[in-house]
Amino acid sequence: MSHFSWLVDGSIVGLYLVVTMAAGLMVRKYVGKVDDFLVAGREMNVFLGIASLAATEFGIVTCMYTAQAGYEHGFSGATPGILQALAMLIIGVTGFCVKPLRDSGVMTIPELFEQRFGTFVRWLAGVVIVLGGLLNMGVFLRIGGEFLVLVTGMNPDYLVITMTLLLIMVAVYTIMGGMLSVLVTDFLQFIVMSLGLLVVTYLILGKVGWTTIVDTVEKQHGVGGFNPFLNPKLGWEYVLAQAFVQIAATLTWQTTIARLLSAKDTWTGRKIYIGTSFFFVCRFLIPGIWGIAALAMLSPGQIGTAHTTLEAMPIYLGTVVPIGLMGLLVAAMLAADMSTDSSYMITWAAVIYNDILGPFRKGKTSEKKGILINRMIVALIGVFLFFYGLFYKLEGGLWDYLTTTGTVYLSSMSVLLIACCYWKHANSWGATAAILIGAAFPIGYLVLEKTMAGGAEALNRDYHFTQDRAKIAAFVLAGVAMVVFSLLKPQKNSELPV
Amino acid sequence: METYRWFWGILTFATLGWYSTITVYVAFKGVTDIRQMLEKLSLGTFDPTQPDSENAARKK
Repeated sequence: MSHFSWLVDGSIVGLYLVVTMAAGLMVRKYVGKVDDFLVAGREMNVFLGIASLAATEFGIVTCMYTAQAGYEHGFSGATPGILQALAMLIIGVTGFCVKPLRDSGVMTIPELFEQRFGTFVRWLAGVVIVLGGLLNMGVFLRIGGEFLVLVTGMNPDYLVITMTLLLIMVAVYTIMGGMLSVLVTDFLQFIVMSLGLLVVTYLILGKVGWTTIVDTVEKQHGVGGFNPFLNPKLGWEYVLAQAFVQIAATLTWQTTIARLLSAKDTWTGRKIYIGTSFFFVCRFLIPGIWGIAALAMLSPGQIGTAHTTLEAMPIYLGTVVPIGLMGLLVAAMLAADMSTDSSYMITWAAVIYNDILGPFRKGKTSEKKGILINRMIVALIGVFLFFYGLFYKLEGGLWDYLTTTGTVYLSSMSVLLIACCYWKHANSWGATAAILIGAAFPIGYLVLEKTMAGGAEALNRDYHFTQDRAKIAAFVLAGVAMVVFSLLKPQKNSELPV
Repeated sequence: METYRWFWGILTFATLGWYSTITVYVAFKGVTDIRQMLEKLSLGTFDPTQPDSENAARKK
């Protein structure tokens, strides 16, 4: 039974929504050019950047899969967070790839690729970025809706209405104010989200106790709950696949890169990376503890056969968080979700406008028309999110799905970016081959998982083909393809953008 | 096992301490960033096609 009170908690949530919507709509008057809409006129400074990146990279979907990882794997489930924090810190300090990328003054990564590999590679890169990105974010709205229904104790029949309301609220201010509204609302959402995450974590630690949490991990998972290499469900293949994914995401994930490209200069962008790096440990560890607490405190009867491990954490929070604090929790999770959805919509719209439609535009598009087209793209992405969320049935772990769909483009884009910045023999043949091969493995896996009898289990049992192996193969073979095809068909070298 | 318990304990409490501090710090400093960003956008002196050094000179 949830403790959500529509009078007390509903008022807190309502107040948060009114303030966010007002702030998001107020700044729309500053949007005069396409650059203002897509990269906030490149005027973002460090602290706004940290708040925005942290808020964007933590949504309800993040909270759900990291809590699921905590429930299923104990502390080992937080491994991807530690890997990404290291990647962010090292890349921020060294400026590896991100310095030449920001120095080039482009709005998207494919725009940089055009300078080295030509228009076709730019267009193809745009297509795989959008394909991987939209498949990835396709489940966000449904997962967000499911969390809210479970934690507030609403009737599950209201899931579609909850999804619709969430989408409308986010779409309204994103369509009107673009990246500028996204940044300002991200800032408010960062504060509300962080407050909610911290207060609920302190509450859980107070109620459950640190010793119970650690003992539960030891009892349920043994040493594998602390060390991912010794966990029978994870192992070195998982850690290696995650290392590839996290490094590539830091270099090329569209929402992360959008912060770098919106920063007022290169050093500001790198400082945002350095300042946000440790947040990625929080991103996995804090909800992970919520998941472990659910494992410790919920009886099998409370989860029931109708629910999955993904739903254990919201069910537990619904029973433990008191009235008043429940309003803060729901506002925090709404804040997290809205900042993520809005940011994903605007950054993928940027790629569609800039790199996929760009080559087909004849002559110079007026700023007014450009903004209108971008607004229409954001609206269409919203419609896609709604229908995909409604009809796609998730198989297996949520985090596995997200990293596999992300790998569709992370594998090739990271290879292309490194080669583009630092390897003078890289050319369009190598780039095209890397894009196609990098996308083939994760897409092939997802198709087989849906079409083969027995799904993921049969793929593993009969062919030893797992999500981790699909990811590792995609990264390694994209790199090999770049080298082999570039050397097979040498072209006149263009200048490195360094 | 004891080493693992200590490692995750220290990491968890470091995480909570860092996150609590950064939330307060970013909450204050971010307001200034937003104000400055909106002021500069309303002036309309920024040209994204120019290098950073050129834009920095214009702002001065």
